[in-house]
Amino acid sequence: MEQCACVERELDKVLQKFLTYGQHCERSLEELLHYVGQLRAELASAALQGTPLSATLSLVMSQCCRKIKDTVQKLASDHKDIHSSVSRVGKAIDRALSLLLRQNFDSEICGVVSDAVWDAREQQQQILQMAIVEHLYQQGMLSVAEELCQESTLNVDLDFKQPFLELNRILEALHEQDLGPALEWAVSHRQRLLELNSSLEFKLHRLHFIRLLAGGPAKQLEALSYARHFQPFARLHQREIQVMMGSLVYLRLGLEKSPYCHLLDSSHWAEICETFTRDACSLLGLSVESPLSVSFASGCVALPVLMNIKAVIEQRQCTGVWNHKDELPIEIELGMKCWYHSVFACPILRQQTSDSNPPIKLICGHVISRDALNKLINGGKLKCPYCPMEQNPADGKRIIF
Amino acid sequence: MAVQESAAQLSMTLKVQEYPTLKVPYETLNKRFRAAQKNIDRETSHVTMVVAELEKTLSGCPAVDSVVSLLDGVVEKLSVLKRKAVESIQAEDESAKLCKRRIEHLKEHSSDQPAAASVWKRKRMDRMMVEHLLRCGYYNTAVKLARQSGIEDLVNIEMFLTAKEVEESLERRETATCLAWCHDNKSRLRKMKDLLDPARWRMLIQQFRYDNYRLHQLGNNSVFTLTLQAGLSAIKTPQCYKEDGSSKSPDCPVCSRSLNKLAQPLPMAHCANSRLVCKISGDVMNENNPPMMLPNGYVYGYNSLLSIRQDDKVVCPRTKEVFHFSQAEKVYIM
Repeated sequence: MEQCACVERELDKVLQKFLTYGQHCERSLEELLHYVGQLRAELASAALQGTPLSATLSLVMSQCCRKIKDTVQKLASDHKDIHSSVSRVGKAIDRALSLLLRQNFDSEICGVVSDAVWDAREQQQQILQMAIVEHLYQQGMLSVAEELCQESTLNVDLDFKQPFLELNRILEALHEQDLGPALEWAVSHRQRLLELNSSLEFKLHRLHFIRLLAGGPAKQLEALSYARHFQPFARLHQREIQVMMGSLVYLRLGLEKSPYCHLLDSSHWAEICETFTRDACSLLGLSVESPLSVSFASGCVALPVLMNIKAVIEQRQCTGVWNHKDELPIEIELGMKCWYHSVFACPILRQQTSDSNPPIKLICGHVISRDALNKLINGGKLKCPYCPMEQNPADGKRIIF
Repeated sequence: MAVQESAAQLSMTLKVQEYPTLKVPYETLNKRFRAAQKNIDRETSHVTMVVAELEKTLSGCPAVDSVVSLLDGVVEKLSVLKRKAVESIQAEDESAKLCKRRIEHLKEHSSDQPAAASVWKRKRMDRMMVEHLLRCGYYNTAVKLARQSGIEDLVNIEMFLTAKEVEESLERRETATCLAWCHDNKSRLRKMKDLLDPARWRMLIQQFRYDNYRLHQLGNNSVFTLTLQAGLSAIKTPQCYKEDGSSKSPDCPVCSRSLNKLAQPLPMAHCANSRLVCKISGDVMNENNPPMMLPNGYVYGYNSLLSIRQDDKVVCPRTKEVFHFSQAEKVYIM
């Protein structure tokens, strides 16, 4: 972002000025102290004790005084000069970041969506906190979730927590490179994992095997004996099994120096955590991204669009345009992955269908809303706007997506 | 990630959401600059004063001993100046460096690497949640979350903790901390029209909170709340609220328990164009997967009907009625 770059430039200038000033300040004050110190030492020498100040020395002292005054006053004014650079940073920030959100806080613009609709009701605040707790559990941030429950005095049922506690336990073990709990889990959920086409169990065995290999020739027997675990996967993962058995040849030489060194990649461990999380979430009927994450990300896309349109509406003073607060004024493009429900917009009347105005399939197969159908009736008959096949309005069939 | 965000969209959102992220540390920088100037000016004037005294003495034929003791005074004041100047500059520098760290973080939103981009997005959500939690008064949770997410530098925890101290002292009917806060922020408060009225306690706390937010140019709602409201609206459809719950989707965030309640008072998404999703598979129904109507009026994707076909029959998942596969009619959506 160009504007961010501008802020950064001004910041760099300020940092440079602080550095230069700081060094200069310290140095010149040190020099001054040294100079004064020398003079003081000279004056304090035994020879001069109790005597009046000589004219020469008096002159030197006056010069010293002047020098001190000049130096410190310059230090003060030099620092003042930095002020303009500092305020330029502030101005750059004001230019870079939008006026829309902050300007309208007093007027609750962000009643683009609704006027403080969650503020008044305690209950809604509690529900929001609950949604955050659920999100934290799903993200594996258990201690944070617990803390929030305590601070907001919310109670989460154990039923809800339980699967996350278990998942987290297994993940923590995986992070410590302990495959045991994960394998136990995979075996007990074998049937459902197979239905998902998951290769988790195989991958876990493979990782264990590889770890044995990393132990060198001493582990050869153990590795060979462990290889029997691959048997049930022989059909689906033939190639991978061959690769692993092939690597045994290089055990004495050391796998790192062999063409099989990629097996020792540490990325396998990160990958197994991801695979486990994904498969476990699928089994639990959860998406990897929590509903709160998706909603928030959706809001990140929607917010600037809504801010802009509200600004345009206000600017052009056509607030009448958006008066039904039950629908947003503009479409927000989130991408196809966010199409969770069917939406049918009648192509004639350009409105979403509803229970009171459902979609109707005509004989020809084209679909329009019931209101549109009624509008098209002419002398008891109906012409499809697309084909245009003539038909009886009663032949239209209500469809449900 | 489910929601697509292009680089351009990320930039636009950044403009709208991140004002507090940069402005709050900037205001601290400003404050520390002014404090530094004051310190330097004050110590400079102390030095100038003792030097003036020395000059006065010089003009009157002094003894060496008195000059020496005055010089000691000068050395002392110069040392104090040096120390205070160095401290003040360090404080200013620290603030400026914090601003720099934050802007460097914000720049990372446009990283080409997808892994880095998704880490940035996750941190963004965590940052907004931390600010929201701080506003709600859940300070321990906020600090824990900030630590776990590695975003301590990027959130304005200190500002809220300072505010918390003031509020707590006001609840104890003490004005000292609040007055100190007013003094601390005096120059900016002066520019604002309203000042705290020390008469009523409850209102006082609210007034303080309001002024504190205005001082830092924050609004009454957290950015997190505003973003979430916009996001829920953008996803919400009438199907999420059908009475019998038959239209709920397991993937739809607004259909999920808590968010369903939260989104109830919010407006629905505006859809100008049709988009059809098969109830069986969740896949899009289009030319590649045409929508097919069964005799009971229910529509499913062609591919899904194929997948549930048994002995040339299909069972409607919603009404359990049995039909012949051939009875499914193609439906045309413009």
